[in-house]
Amino acid sequence: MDTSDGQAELEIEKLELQEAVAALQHDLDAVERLWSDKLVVSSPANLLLSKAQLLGFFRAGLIRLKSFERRVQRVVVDREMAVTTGSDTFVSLIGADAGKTIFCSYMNCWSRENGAWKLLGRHAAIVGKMKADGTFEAASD
Amino acid sequence: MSATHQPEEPCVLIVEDDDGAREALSDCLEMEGFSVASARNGREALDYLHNSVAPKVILLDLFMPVMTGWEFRAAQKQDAAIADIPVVVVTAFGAAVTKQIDATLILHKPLDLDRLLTVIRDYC
Repeated sequence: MDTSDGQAELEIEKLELQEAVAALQHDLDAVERLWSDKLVVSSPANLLLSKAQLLGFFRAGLIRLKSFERRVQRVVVDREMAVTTGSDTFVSLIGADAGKTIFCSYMNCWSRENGAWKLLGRHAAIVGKMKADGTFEAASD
Repeated sequence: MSATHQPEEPCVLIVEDDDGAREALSDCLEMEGFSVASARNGREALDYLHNSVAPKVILLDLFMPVMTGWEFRAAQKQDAAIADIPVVVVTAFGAAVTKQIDATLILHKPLDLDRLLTVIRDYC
């Protein structure tokens, strides 16, 4: 990870990885704890979603992951805010892309709320998809 | 070629070539109680409209293979049977691209789901 030294940066990186594990394990208690109530997500499907809407997707079984690997690339902390960038690689169990390996780049924004870091914003974009046979699909426009 | 999904009395017809985006949008609307049909391009959408109960509103992507959103809209307007179905264009592109299309409304990607639901409720 390319970042300056600092306790907050390390804490944020740890939370980033916790969030990825929570999503993979369908651990809604954990994601509820890690997400701000004001969370806004610009999803790879080009939808702007709230925390309630995302949790609704999880509860309805519309988000089920077979694997999820997160690589945190950079963490920048400025007082009560933090920005991270990185890449996510995942395989969904359901949906149009089920079984494909999806490669995303992302930027997350964390804010410190009452002393605890919460994910406040996220933008993720698909950069490529790989089918089970190893062939690649270009990202859609 | 038939549309990808055809309920008997759809409220919304989604015309979008990206499988993931189309499915996610369809899931969102169905979770909110709307019946949704979908098509992968303008040609599929026209085929659907000519053979099915008309939806209350069409959500239209612009850049699609086979038949683009612009081509679909031009063909729709020439067919009196389907010309009056409202069309909401959903695109990531700005006015330089969208100015050539005659739509009821233009919504930009990333699509604000709350805003979209407000629009859909006006029609359904």
